[in-house]
Amino acid sequence: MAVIAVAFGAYVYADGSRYLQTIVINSVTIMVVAYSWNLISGYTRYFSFGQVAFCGIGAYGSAVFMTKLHMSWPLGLLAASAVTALAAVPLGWVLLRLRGIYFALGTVALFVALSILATNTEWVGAGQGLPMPLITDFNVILFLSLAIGAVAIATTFAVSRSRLGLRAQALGADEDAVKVLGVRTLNVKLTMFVISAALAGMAGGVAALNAGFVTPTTGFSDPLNTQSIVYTLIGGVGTVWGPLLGTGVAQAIVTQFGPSAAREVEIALGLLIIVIVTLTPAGIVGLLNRVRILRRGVIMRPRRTDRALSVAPGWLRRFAPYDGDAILDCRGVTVKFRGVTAVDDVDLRVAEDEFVAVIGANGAGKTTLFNGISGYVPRAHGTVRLAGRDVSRLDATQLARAGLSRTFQVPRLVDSLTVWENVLLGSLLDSKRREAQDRANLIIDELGLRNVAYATVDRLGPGTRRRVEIARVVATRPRVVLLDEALAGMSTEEIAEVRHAVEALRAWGVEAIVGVEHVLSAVRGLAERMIALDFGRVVAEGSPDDVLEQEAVVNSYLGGTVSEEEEAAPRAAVARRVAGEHAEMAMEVRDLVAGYGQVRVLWDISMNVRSGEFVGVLGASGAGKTTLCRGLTGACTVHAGSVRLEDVDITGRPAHVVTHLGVAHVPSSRELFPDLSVNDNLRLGSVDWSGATTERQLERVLELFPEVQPLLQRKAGALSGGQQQMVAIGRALMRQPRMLILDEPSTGLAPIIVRRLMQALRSLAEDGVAVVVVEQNAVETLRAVDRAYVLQEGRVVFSGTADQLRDNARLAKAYLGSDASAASPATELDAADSLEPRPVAAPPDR
Amino acid sequence: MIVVQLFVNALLLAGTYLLLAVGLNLIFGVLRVVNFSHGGMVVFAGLFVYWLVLRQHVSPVLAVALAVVVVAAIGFVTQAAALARIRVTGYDAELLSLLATYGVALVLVNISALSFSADYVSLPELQGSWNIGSIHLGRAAVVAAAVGVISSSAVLFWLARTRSGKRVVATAQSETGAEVCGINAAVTKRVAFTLGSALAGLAGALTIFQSTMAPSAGLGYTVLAFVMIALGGLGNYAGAFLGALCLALLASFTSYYWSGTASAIAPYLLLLLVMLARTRGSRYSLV
Repeated sequence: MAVIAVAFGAYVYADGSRYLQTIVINSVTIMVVAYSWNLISGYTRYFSFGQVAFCGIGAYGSAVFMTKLHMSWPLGLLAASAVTALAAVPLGWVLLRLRGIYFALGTVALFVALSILATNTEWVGAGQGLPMPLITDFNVILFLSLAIGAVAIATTFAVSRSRLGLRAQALGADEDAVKVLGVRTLNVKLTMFVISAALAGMAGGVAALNAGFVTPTTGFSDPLNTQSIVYTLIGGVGTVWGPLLGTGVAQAIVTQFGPSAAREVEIALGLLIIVIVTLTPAGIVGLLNRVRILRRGVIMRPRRTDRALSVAPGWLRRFAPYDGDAILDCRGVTVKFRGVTAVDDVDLRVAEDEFVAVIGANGAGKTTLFNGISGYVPRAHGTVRLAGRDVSRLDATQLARAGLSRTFQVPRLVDSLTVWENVLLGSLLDSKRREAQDRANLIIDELGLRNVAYATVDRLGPGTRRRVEIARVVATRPRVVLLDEALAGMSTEEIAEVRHAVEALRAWGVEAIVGVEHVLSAVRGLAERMIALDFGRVVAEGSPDDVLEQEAVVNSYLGGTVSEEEEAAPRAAVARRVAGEHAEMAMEVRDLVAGYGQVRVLWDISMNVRSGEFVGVLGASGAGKTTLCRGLTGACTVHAGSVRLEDVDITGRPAHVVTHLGVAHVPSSRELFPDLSVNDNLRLGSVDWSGATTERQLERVLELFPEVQPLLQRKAGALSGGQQQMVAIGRALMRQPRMLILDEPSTGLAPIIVRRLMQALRSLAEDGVAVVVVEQNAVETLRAVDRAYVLQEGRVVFSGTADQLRDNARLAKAYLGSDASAASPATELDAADSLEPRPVAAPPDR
Repeated sequence: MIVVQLFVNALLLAGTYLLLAVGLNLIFGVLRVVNFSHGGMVVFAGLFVYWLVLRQHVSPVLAVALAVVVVAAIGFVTQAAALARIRVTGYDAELLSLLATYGVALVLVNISALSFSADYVSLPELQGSWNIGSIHLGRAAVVAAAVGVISSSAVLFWLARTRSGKRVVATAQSETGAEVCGINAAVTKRVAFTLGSALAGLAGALTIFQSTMAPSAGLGYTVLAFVMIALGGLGNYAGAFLGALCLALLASFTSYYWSGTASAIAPYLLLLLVMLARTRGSRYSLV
C-alpha cells in the first residue's frame, strides 16, 4: 500500500501540475475524514453528522501552534492532532452516552456550535480566520497528504483486525448483549472516537496548510462533512477499503465539474445517498464481496489449531473457588413494570457446584427474574451477592467481570461476525491474545462448533446459534452462569449436545448454573434443585421430582389437574353449528412452510377450520405457535404452501388485508394502543367507528365481557393483564369476524379468568365464528375446544378431538417431559435439520 | 416594559415554532424516524415563497399555499421512494433512514440556493406593527403566529378527536395492533410523513415574512425542531407545545440580553444540556 502511495505521489510529482496536485490533496483530505467517519460510524455504528468539528479543531489548532506560538509546521501539526484527540475525550464521554439520532444530532450541535464560536471569537480572527505559515514547495504538502492518507488506511486496517475493532463492531450490533461478555463499552466507543478525531484533526491541519489559511467556513467545512459521509457510503460503510474506493470513484467524477458546479454536485450527492440507501446499502465493497473480492479477513484467526490448553478439571476457572455458603445469594428480588409486579420478593440461593432450574409457565416471571438479577431491568427491591460480595449496584459489564454472566432467551449474537469471532469476544476478557485464542478454539471443539467456526452467525440455525451463545458466555470463564431457556427450540440431538456441554461446565470450573427452562424434560436430569414460579412468586422449591409433583406446579403448567377434569361434562367432539349472521366459511392450510426472512420455523403444516368450530393448537414454548398465528394472518414470511379462505388465497397477504377478509388476530402481546382509552381501542377495531352495527357490536362485546364496561374511559395501558386481554379480544370482535385467531390468550391470567375466557370463546364458536386458540395451557384449552392440533418443533405431531387428546399420554410428555429420552418417533423430527449452515464460506466484508 | 415586549415576541415566535415541532413529532411518532430534512423543507418553502412573491409576482397567500403543497409532495415522494424502500430492519434501518433524509436535505438546500436565493433574504410584505401601549406587535409576526397556532391546533384536534386521526395515533403506538385492526400501516406512515412535511413547509413559508432566511440555515432548523420535541419528550404533543415556547423565549431573551451569537448557539447548548440531563438509563436510546 505504501508502495502504491509513493508511486502515485511520484506520478503526480513528476506531472508537476499544480492543478492535479490540488485535486489530489483535496481528495486525500476528504478520504481521511471519510476514514475518520467510518471508524466511529461504520465500525462502531455511532452515526456522526459533525465529524468535521474535529477537522476544525485540528485546523485552528495548527494555526494557533504555527502562527501564534511559532512552532515548526511538522511539530505544529502533530501538536494539533494531539489536541484534537484530547478534546475528543470529554466530548466523546458526553456524546457517546447518546445513541442513534441523539448522537447524530449531538454531533451536529457540536459542529455548528464550534463553527459559530469560531466566527465570533476575535482571538482566532473571527470571520477572517487565521493565516498559516507559507510552504512554498507544494510537493511537501502533496507527500504529507499522501502520508496521512496512508496512515488513515493503515490505522483502519489495524483496528479492523484488533480486539478493539472486534469489540467496536460487536457493540455496534448489540451494545447491551456485549456487556454480558464483560466488554467495557464506553471505553471501546471512546477509544474509537478519539482515534477518529485524531485522523480528522490531522486532515484539517493539512488542509489548512494547503489553503494557507483557516476560516470558519474552511475549517468547519459543510461540503467536506457531506462528502466524507457520502463517499464512505458509496464505497461501503464499515469496511477497510470503502472510503478509499468511494472517494476515488466519486472524486474522479466530481472533479470533472469544477467548483462552479458545487451546488449541482451536492444535489447529485443527495440523490445518490437515497439510491444507495435503498438499493445497495453495502456500497461498492458490498458489490465486490458478492464476487468474492475484498472480503473481510477473520479477526485473529489462529494459524494453528494445536494448543497449549487441554480440557482439565477447572480449566475455565478465573477466580479462586469460593468456600462460603451460597455463591449466588439473591434476596427479595422484586421487579415492577408500570405498577404491575412481574417478580415478587423472590429469594434465590445457589450453592457451590449446584445447578438450579427455575421453571414456570409463560409470563410467570422467569426471564424477568434473570433480568432483575443481571442488571438489565431495575429492581424495585432486593439484593444480589456473588461469592459473598454485594454486587447489587453493578451493571451488566461489571457483573460479567465479577463472574456473573448470562445468555438470552433469543440468542443475541453479532450476526455479521463469524462463530470464531463471537466466541473470541468472550474469551478476550482478562486474557492475552494467545491464551484467548487457545481457549476459544477448545470451547469451539468441545461444543461441536468446529465445522461452522468460520461461518458468519446469520447463516446458522437456531440450535447452533444457541450453542454459540453458550460458548461465548462460557469463554468469559464465569463463576455463575444464568442460562435463559438454553434448550428451547432445539432438536432432540441438539438438546443432547447442549446438555452434554452444560453438564461439563461445572467440571470445567463454572461454580454454579441457574437455568430458566420451559421444557421440563430438558432439565429434569440436569438440575439438582428446582424453583417453580407462578405470577412472579415462588410456588415450590426442592428436588425436581418433588417440585414436579406439587399441585401448584402442575396447575401452573397444565391449568388444572386431570382429576379435576373428570367432573366436566363430557362433550361431543363434533363441531356445533349454530345458525348465525355469518356466512359459512372455512380456512384451509396446506403444507405451509413459514418463518422469518431465511429462517424457517414451520414445516409442512396442514390444518383446516370451519365456521362454528373451536379449535386448539397446543405446544410448548418454541414449538412454533406464534409463527403459526402469524402465518395464518400474513405477518411472517411464507416459503411454501398455501392458506386459503374459501376461494380466496390469502397466503402472504398483508395483515390488514386478512383482517378485512374477516379473520381477526389477537397477538400474544395483545398490541393494544396504551395511551388511548379502552373505548377508542374498541372502536378502532370496528369498520366505521360509530355506525349502527358498530354500536350494536360494542354492546355485544360488553355483554360478553361485562368487566370492561366500567373501564371504557381508562387508558388501555393502565389495565391489568386480564383486562387487557379482554379488550384485545373485544377489539378483534368489533368487526364481526368470521374467524378469530388468538395467540396464547391465557398468558399471565389467573386460572379462574382463563376458564371464563374459554367459556366466552366457546359461546362465540357456538354463534358461528371459527375460533382458533393457540395455547400452552393444555387442560383449560382441551376442556373448551372441539379439536386440537399439537405442535412440536414446527410440525403438527398429533391432531384429534379434545377427548382423544386428553387421554393421550404423549401430550403430558411433551410438556412435563416425564421421560425425555424415550421421546416418541413423531417428536424426533428434526426441525433444525435444514437450518444447518450452508457450506462454510468466508464472511462478507462489512 | 422591555421584559413584556420580549415575552410577547416570544409568544408570537412560538406560533411558528409550534408548526415545526408538531410536524417533526408527527413524523417521529408514526415512522420512528427523525426527519433530517425537516430544516431543508423549511428553507425550501420559505425561499420558494420569496421567489414566487418577489420574482414571479404571485400573491403572498397563494404563494404560501403553493409552497405548502409542493413541500407536502416532496414529503410524499421522500417517504414513498426512499424511506418505504429501506429493506433492512432495526437499528440499521434507523441509521439508513437518517442518511436518506440527510440526502433529501442536501437536495432541497441546494435547489433552494440555485433557484431561489443563496443569501439571507426576507419578504418586505406585512411590515409595520400594531401598538398596544408601548408594546409593538409586528404584523407579520401576529399573522404568522395566528396561522401557526390555528393550523397546529387543527392537526392536534384531528389526531385527538377524529377517527382518521386516531388511526394515525394508534399506528404510532402499535403497528401490529393497527394492522390487526385493519389499518394499513404503510399508508398511515405515508400520510404522517406528508402531513409533517406540509407543516414544515408552512413554518418556512411563514418565517420568510418575519425574519431573514438562507439555504445554509436548513440544518439549524432541523436542530431547533429536534430540541423542541426532545425537551417535551419525543412523540409527546403537549410536550412539544412547551418545547416550542421554551425555545421561543430563549431566542427572544438571549438575542436581546446577550448577542446574536448567544442566540444562535443557545439551542445547540440546550440540546446538549437536555440530552446530558436525561441520558440516565436507556431513555435516549432508540433501540
